[in-house]
Amino acid sequence: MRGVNMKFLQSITSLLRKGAPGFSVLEAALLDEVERHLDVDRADRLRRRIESINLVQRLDGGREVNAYALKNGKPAFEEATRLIAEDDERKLATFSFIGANQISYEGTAWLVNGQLFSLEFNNPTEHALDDRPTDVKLSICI
Amino acid sequence: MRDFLWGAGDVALLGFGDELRDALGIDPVDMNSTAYTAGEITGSVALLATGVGGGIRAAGAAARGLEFSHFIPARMGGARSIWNGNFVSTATHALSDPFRYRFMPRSWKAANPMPNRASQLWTRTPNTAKGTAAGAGAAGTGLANAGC
Repeated sequence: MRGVNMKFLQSITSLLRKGAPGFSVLEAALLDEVERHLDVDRADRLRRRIESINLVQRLDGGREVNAYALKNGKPAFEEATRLIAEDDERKLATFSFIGANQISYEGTAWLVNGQLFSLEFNNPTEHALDDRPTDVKLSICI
Repeated sequence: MRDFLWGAGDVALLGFGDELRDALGIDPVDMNSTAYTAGEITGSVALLATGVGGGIRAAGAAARGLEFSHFIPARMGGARSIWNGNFVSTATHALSDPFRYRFMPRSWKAANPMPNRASQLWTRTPNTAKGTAAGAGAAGTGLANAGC
């Protein structure tokens, strides 16, 4: 009975939640890898942007992961976390890796307003979120 | 005729007709008369019809700049009917349907995170259903309280 109540409560809270408060193990590991490939200044800006993220929305089974730094309920973009001057959508990095489920993935990290906004994958990641990726290959596009 | 009109009015006033008559010093009505009952039924039907009509108007119609947002998705057999969705702006559609949201530009998505699922479901609920429920609720409340 208690388990049923917990499940009911969880389903109600999931209806009211906008998303997760931060990145999963998988996403954080990929962003660490992006950071490792950037120069010191950009790596620091990316780190600060990642630390400011307080809402992560996963769509389409985790094929699309959008990250927001909300302030007073609205998305905020700090100039201090900008990696490039352009405001348009730009590819930050492309990557491939093997998930813990032995599925091979390819994906892209995207910038909007010069700042990290999303990760996109060619396969759903919802069942691989808690595992670190292996055999990561990554190239920076900016 | 007077009893009929007050029967309809009492339903529309959600059963507060008595209090209104008392406050205005109007003579009581015969709540056991056939005319009063006929008025109650007419009032209930009118309230329900107002709700349905309001819902149909709010559901909108195909027009430039509007998209049809399904409650039950087309891929699951949901019909393109105002009983299964509403005609809404692109932004409203995207913010209430994750499948539509995916096709918006990243720069738009960066400024517009998805609302929670409860809000998405409420927005996608056909306005015809909301109007009908509101009309039925008002008619039911009026009928239950009128004639007391």
